[in-house]
Amino acid sequence: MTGFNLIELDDMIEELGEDRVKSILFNFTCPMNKDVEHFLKEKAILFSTQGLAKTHLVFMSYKGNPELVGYFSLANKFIMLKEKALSNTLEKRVRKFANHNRELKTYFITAPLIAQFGKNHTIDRGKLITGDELLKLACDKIAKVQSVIGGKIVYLECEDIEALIEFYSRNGFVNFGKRPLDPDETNLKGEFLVQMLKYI
Amino acid sequence: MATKSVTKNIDIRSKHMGRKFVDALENAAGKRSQEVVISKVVKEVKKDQIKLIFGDN
Repeated sequence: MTGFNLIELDDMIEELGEDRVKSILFNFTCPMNKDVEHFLKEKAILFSTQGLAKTHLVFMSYKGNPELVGYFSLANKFIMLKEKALSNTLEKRVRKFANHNRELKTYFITAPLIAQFGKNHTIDRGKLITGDELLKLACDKIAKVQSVIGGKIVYLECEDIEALIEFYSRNGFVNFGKRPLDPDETNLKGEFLVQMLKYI
Repeated sequence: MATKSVTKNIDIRSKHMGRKFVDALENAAGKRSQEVVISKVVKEVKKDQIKLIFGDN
């Protein structure tokens, strides 16, 4: 095994069985964001089965063993933009990015969501892959899908932490809004998530 | 990142958010981001190679 090996969670379950895969995922830790860790251990398989989000695992050889170094999960979403939210000038500007539905008086933009994304800190304290590399792997995967089915935008929601926003910003993401956290989203910092998009 | 983001929809209804969103779209389209070079070879593993990697043959 050389380099970074990208494996789809679904394929892994099919080949190794759910119990074996769960034992591999159990080794993942992310002390900075417990939601990233919780998702992989508790939700990724369920969401994948339901078709809500597909998880992609990155492995590399470390001390002779295949080790999980990070993962990302992608979901197929769209952004709705009501006509009433746009002036005539803004409508003209948005037309090159969006489909218009006259009946619903809404513009739709297909945009995959980078739903989760994190490095495994169990192995060498997360130093085997950089965040920039992992994010590029996720964006490259989206670009590949969009080259087949269309689309140019990807978005994500992250905590309002300066270092995080700077990280996404230097990787081409632009802030476009905020989503208030629900009362049960207690394992995230702050009162809202920052929404950022990137043009692929 | 939040697990709940998967089940949330983005529905922009206000003029303020509409302007912010369209500005962001155009900025993103023209934005130059840093060039990231992945330090290692990247391989997309096919299903039939998974057992080989994990020694389950």
